[in-house]
Amino acid sequence: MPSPENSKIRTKSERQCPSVLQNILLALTLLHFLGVLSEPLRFFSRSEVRTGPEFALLGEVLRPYSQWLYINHGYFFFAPNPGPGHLIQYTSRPPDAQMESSQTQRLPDRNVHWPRLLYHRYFMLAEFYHSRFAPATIDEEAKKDPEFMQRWAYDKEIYDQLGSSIVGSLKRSQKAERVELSRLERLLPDSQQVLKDGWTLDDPRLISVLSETLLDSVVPVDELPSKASPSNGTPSKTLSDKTLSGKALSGKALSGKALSGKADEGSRP
Amino acid sequence: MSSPSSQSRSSETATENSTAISTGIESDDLQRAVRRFFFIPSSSHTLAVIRICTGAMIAYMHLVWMMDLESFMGPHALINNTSWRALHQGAVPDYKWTYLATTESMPILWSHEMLACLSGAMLSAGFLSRTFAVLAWFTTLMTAHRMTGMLFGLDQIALMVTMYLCLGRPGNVWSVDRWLLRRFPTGPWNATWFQAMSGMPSTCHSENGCETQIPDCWSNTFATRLLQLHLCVIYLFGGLGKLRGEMWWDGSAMWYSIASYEYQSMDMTWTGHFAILSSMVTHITLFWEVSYSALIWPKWTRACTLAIALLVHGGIALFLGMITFGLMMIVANLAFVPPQTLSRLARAFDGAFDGER
Repeated sequence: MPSPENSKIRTKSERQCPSVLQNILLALTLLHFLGVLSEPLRFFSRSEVRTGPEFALLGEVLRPYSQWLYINHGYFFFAPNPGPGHLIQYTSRPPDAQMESSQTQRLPDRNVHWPRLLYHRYFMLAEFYHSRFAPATIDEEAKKDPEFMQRWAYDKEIYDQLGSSIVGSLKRSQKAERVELSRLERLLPDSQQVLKDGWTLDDPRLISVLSETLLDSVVPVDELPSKASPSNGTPSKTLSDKTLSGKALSGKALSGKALSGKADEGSRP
Repeated sequence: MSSPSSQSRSSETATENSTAISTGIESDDLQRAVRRFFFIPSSSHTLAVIRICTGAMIAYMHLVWMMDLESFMGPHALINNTSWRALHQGAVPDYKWTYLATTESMPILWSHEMLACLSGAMLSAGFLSRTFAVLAWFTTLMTAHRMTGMLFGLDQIALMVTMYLCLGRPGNVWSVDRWLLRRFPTGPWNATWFQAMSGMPSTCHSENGCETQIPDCWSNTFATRLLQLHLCVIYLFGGLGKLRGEMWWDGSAMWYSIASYEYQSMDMTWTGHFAILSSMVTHITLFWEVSYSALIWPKWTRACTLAIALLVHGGIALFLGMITFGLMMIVANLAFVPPQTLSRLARAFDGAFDGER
């Protein structure tokens, strides 16, 4: 048992922080918050051309601290805009089975993945896999830039590695001989489509299979948009999202984004 | 009698002196204010509520990881160790390090997750609070580093809150630690090792057993201030990020958030019939988030700011399928509720653990 004298001394230091310790803690607090601020500042000051040099430097210097402590976030919750959802679709075929016995499932699947947190983990995986996409091929123009080629090759390697890792895991869990992956995108309907035209949020017209190559990057599931009557219109975000995807894929931004080292940061909360 | 020039000189000197004195005083005042802000002793009630909720959340997060542990971390993980290394130790190496990425042994992974889950539960209960706070934080951090690609805001907030809990004394009230000391004042709980592992103040170890009043501690204020400031950074940049998006300005962001099938947990598309209301909610959310870091400090705007936080995060929890994230944000916002308020609230109930009435 501590002596009453020791106890008194300790009680005083517990109640009042010694002045020297206060100074040390204030200095450490300042450094800590530089670490907290470094990533959002770097994230916000980034353009397609460059990153604010002072924030890039700050981020670089404090990265070991902020990254290991897991405080290196941009805090882009639902920002800049709520965007379309991405899913992984996989077709698995059991050993010695006919093609007809193949099963097509999705990650995440709210009917299978429960509780909601488990569902959300799979949802984040699908979003992450999509965020690391690198096209299977790039155009001849881009191939002339050795730096871009190098970055693309690196991104492609990571993307392929992720794909084969997911396939391997699904093969085991599904007891399948063969598993094929594809990325799906579910666009956001506008209020008119839902309230006036009667679309549901899981309407198949909103979902598309994303291509693995640059050209024809969006392929509608069952080609349903062409069957939709013109009066129904197309999903308002379809065109803009296609444009955005096309822009990202054709430009050098894609590789830059993937190479930035932000492995798990995005607009998802 | 002095000449006008000397008068002028003396007047200038007087002004300089007065400025110097005034600056000195201001500087002292500022220093005192900063020290008071971070180090004035306070009670543990706020941190205790945050501890109970965060510990439970940490335990739940690990329970969910354990539901499909082999697919998350095992030798056949969705993102296996080879992929993890490619992501973190490739051409652009980073500083994420976790021992979980160096093993595929299921017994080790199970042990880790069970320890993490237990630590969360013990933190929530307040048994050896300081020790289990550090353990819960460290094991969850290791899991977070391993689970690249499957994380979201919940992990960020839960880890941030637990990290700051390690710095305070959240187990001083409403905890098993406190109960043990009161119930068995002469038992093994009254030893130095228990004091070190629980973070209970030494006055609880007087010869007569635990005292009725737990003294206020500076470390509670320090931990709470860090949490408050970090929360302000999160809201500030969250708001600034939204300012970049046209949907947050044209008022359609609320609609497009609830129109996402992947997020939806309750059909709220009927709000589309009330376009003005939906747009107003979007704009209130935007302005609240941008101004949170300023409006949360003055007493007369704090209640309103916290009320909106409750509504926004409660809405996310109920309607956007992120119950855990919404709850964790509400818990983090409790940092702005003074401990005296929570203590007074608690007096209204018949607290079983504490008995500080």
